[in-house]
Amino acid sequence: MMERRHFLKVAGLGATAALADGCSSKSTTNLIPYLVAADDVVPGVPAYYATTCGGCPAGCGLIAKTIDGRVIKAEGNPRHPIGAGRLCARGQASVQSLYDPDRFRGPSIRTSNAEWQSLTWDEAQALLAGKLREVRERGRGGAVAWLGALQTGSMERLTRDWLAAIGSERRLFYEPFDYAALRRAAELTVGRRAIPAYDFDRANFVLSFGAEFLESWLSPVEFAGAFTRLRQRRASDPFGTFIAVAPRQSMTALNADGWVPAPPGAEVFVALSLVHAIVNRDGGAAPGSAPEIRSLVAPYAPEATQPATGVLPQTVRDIARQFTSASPSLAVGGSITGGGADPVALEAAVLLLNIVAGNIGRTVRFDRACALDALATYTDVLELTRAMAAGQIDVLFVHDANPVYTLPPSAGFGAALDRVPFVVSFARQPDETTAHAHLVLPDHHFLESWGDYSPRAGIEGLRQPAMSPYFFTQAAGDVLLRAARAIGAQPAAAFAPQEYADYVRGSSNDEAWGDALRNGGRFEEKEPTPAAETTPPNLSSAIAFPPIPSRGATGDLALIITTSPQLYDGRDANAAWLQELPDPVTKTVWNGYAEMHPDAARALVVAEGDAVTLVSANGQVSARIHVSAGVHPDAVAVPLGYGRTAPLRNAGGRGPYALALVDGAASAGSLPWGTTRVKVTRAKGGRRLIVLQAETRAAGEGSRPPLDAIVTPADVAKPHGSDQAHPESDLYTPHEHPEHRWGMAIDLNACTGCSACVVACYAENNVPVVGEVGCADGREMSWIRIERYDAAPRVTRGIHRTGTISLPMLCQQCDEAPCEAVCPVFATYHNPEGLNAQVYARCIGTRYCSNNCPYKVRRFNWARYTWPAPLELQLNPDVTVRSSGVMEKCTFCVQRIQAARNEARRDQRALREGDIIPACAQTCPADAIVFGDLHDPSSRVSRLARDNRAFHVLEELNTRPAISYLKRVAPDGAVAAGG
Amino acid sequence: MALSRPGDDPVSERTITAGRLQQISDDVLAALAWTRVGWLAYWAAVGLCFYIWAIAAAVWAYQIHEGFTITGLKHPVMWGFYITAFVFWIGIAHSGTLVSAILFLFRAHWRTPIARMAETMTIVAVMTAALFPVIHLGRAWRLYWLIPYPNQRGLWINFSSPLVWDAAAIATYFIVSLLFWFMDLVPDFALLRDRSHGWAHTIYRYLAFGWSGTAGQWRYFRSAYTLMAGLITALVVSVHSIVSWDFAMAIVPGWHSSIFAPYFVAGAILSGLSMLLTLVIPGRELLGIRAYVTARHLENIAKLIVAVSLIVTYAYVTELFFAWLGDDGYVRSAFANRGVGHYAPLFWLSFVCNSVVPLTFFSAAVRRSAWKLFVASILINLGMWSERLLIIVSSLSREFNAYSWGTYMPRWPEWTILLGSGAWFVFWFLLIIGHVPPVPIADMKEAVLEGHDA
Repeated sequence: MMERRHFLKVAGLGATAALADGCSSKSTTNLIPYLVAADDVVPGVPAYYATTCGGCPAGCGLIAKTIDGRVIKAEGNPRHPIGAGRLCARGQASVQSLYDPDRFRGPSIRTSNAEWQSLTWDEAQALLAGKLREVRERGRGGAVAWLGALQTGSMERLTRDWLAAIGSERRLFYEPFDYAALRRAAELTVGRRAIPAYDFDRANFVLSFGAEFLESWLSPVEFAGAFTRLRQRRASDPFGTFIAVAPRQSMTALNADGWVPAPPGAEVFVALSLVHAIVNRDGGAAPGSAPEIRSLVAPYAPEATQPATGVLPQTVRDIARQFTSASPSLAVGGSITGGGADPVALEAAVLLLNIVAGNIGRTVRFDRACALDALATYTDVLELTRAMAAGQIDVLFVHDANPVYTLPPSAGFGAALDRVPFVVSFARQPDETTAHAHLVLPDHHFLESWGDYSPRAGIEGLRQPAMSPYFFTQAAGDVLLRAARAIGAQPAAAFAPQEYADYVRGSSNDEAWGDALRNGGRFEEKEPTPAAETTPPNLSSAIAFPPIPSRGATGDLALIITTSPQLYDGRDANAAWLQELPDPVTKTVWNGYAEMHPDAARALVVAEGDAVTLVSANGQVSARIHVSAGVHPDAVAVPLGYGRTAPLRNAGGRGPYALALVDGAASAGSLPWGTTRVKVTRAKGGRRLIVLQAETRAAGEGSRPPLDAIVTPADVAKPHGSDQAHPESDLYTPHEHPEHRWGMAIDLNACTGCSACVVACYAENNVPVVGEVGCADGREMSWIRIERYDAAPRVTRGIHRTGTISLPMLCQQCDEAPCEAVCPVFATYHNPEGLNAQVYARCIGTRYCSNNCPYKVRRFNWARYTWPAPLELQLNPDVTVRSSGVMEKCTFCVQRIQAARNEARRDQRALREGDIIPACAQTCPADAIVFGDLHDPSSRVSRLARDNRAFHVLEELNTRPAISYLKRVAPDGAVAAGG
Repeated sequence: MALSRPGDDPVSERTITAGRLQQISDDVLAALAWTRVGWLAYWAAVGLCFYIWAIAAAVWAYQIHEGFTITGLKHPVMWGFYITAFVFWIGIAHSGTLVSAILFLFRAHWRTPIARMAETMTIVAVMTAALFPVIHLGRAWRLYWLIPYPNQRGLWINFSSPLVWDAAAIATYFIVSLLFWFMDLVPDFALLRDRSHGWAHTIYRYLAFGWSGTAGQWRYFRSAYTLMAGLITALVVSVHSIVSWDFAMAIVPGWHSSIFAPYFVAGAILSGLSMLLTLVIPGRELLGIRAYVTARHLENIAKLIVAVSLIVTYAYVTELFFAWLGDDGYVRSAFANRGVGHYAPLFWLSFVCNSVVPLTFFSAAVRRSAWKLFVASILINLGMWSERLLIIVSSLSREFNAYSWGTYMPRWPEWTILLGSGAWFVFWFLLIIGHVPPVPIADMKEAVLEGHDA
């Protein structure tokens, strides 16, 4: 008989052996425990690292949450001025691109028979140094070119010095969206070739000519926060706070109080007519109404442009009056993807509008240099392409850019690239450009990197690695430093630091450096001095506006290329969260679309979901039709970010490649996004269109989208008195919540529909991705979704008062929850703090709770969902990964509630407001989601729940949700009341 | 109410002799004595049914392995074919008890020859129905968590959930039906015991519980039978009411209605009676008991069907009327959607089959023709299936939240398992009815002796 002590010994030994065995991985041969653990690694306790997001040039502050040395979540850095603690959907998804299974494992070289062969870093480094030496010896240093993402600070300095040491000055900071038209227009109108800083915070009225400032334009997270404040500040403005003039309703335009559907390319004439209306009012008393402006806009009287724009002169004058009276106002112009045939003219007209309304120096400021000013223009890129094609480039370095995909094929970049004898790519994962490369030296993900990025003067964001690199990658900076030393680059002092980390740090002392790292950077942005506010108009004689075209039907449709908050230019398209995130406008997933007006669709005899071929002079693509009244009848909208051909499991071979239609050869300073006309013909086959939202309109009785959630400013002051709950009919005694009752308030007036919360929830709660087939089957697992509801549009004075609401729908944590009563095993139950707790281990999967949930927020695990390695490293260890056959749902991030409670208990204090922030509320760029204790009458959520605008969704069902929604405020007469 | 047509119906000749009683025993037991061809055909049929449900069982195992992703179930239609099949089979189970218990209490003596088959059908149908709540569970291996057993973990079940009521109701119904069926069989088992030998004799000896046919035994038997009949009558109403509350207790528009209990009970009886016709019409031929189960019995069932069908039609109309009358837009839209929406074919199919087809029984030519009744019974089965599917699926597919509307289309696992459940039903029915007297011998003798018109 075995003694107990002996048994424990043996069992312990066995367990150790099993543990050691289970932990072995191919890359690790010896497991060595920390003898002295690093200070910041406590098993199971998260450590946070402040860094800067590298998802787009906006450069939002980011805090990476790591547990046991693995990044599991990205959140905004509240101390960083950009984003102020919030992130967009793509920022949230950055952890998925970090663990992307398709990332390069290490450096590789293309052999003569076009196959890839792995290298060690020493070999790769030697190869690179050899190549550089050879180039220098041949005196062809000038034939080395660098095409890379926008860099500031260390990397900017290093690449400049490094190229100089080789003897080249060809360095292009390339981004697909170069704002060249804006910069050129600023040069023409105010004499500064610079992107102004837009101050939505100070504006009282915003007029947008297609700028998607809430989803992709310049700095969307920052603008979303400011736009929310603008809207709250001007809640009772009878005209509204934001009018969008654009041929298509982007997500930003869906948030407008009014939409002026200008024909594609006619936005410029609306803008010019507005200028005309302003300078010719009251004898031209407007501050900027210099005679030259008056003469410039003289041909564009509202009456003259009406045939081309379809906008009534009275409407133009109304908007003009509002624009000048709500001073300072703000006009922002031009879609990120162009803005008609002459984007410079549009941007110039918009700047003129700001000039004549006196906004320059107030809401449009040129006192803060924008990093984007350093971007290469499309002309520069074409010039490089020509040089490549002419054989003038011997070595090309491509860093964090994918020009073969993001430039139209007709620009000929891919063909020119094949003429370059040696192409070095620093890409993290295969892309369309690495297919043409010779040597791939994969860079770290930004979450693994040192670096710095300054989006504008005064804001120096720092990057620090939140975890050690997972793959055998090297920082591009280190590669450059080593190469420089290997070839003896001069001046040696410029390349002295052994590590790129030291290079970034420079000469900072420990304390200053530590502080900067903790804060995520150095932020010394100064408020503008009054002196800086005056930037006088400085009209160039080169300024010219196109003549008003006569409208003639061509039979073709104008192509509008759209960007979405989830895919942007397609760079992160391999992140499954972003593919599965419904497009905020169309609610489509896993595929692009060709969006058409119902009239246009009728004329072509195509219906929703039909396959079509779009043919332009430059190429053709296949797509599926999405019918929407939010696009001008003369246009068809195709999103960017699809049609990737690289071997990427999620992005590859998916959707229409919009750029194939664009004429890339024409050079007009920026890519001519907006000049393409396409012919649409019916076709067969192709990837289907998956629209996750079944119904957006009030389609008769029973659908009843909560469209009475839109109120006029006059209603805001009145208690709405629409509480239709009837507590007297309860059969059971009400629940008691002795300590807390957690609740939420969601302001529909703030929610922009950007869907960052959805991705944050996926990341925080280990929500599985079901893929294209799963979505087509209606089995998506999102715990929170953005429902879009449209009231029947009402046209007042030529402005479409659209009345769209974006309604974040998540578990309402009902006090009288229909789900709880029907669960036979108490797998869902009401906890003492008012949560509908869901006990996954107890669930047996009757699915009755889902049937009985009027909000349809419960999700069933239809299969055993998996995370392709190494994506499973992202899983939040504080949240169960649910097994097949159980129901799951939102519980207000109960793990965060528990963590905050533990912390408060440890500190021997009560929970305070702000201790607990669910993932969705944490990231919301618009601050639309507020979480807190409904028991505390002074908490923010309690105050909002008592607001006149507060209501519960489906409150007539007596479910008594813990979530109050605040009605959207729209100008008088904007929408038909009710559904 | 004798339909005396001499020559057609020898039992109604009323020649009560010992020989007559002997003949009943001989006739009925002859049904259990197979010819060689009959024996082969019987076991081939049983084997085929086994084969089919074994495949379905394998599909179920595959479904457990793969998860419900292989089915057509989806958000928001979380219940589909499986729950429809459950309600359908539990409905079938209702006419057996109706025939044997309620008609017994009402002294409708014509029910005697068909009572055995009806009761067997009941038991087998409950056995079939009970499979589906398990098949449909996300984690079927946790089934025992539905049972309120004391445990260290302090876990308990939620008695406010209709599913718990359901589990209790079905278990009760099964146990009581089984007892009722078995009790009636005891005198017949005694007869079989007396006439068999070898291992069959041993089995029947145990099953006969020492029945010797004394007056005292008969006295206890009669009173116990009547008591059981009373108890089970209450169950006929309660069980399907509780099944209907699985739906009526939910807030789903189209489910949440107080008419559901009587509506479902009537529907259950309608489907049960038509299934009884489906089984009895070929059964009486194959078992050679046409002399006992006569056209008159079929006709009486048909008359019952007409009555119940009218109740069901009334329920349809009431439901629609109150949906229209009420000011609840969700409910109104749910019913409008049934008539003209995606699932409208199911609505019209069930209306025609359940409300129109039975009306043809007003014609004597139809209700006296076995094959016409057979066709009609198949149609009513189909109609009742469509009705349950319509109620379950169309209501779920368009609830309150318009974002989450969706439609359900079953896939091969559901079809296979449904087919398998039919095979399982026939398998057990054949197996049982081939080994017990298909007509209750003792009851028939009693009817003859007491001069009832059975």
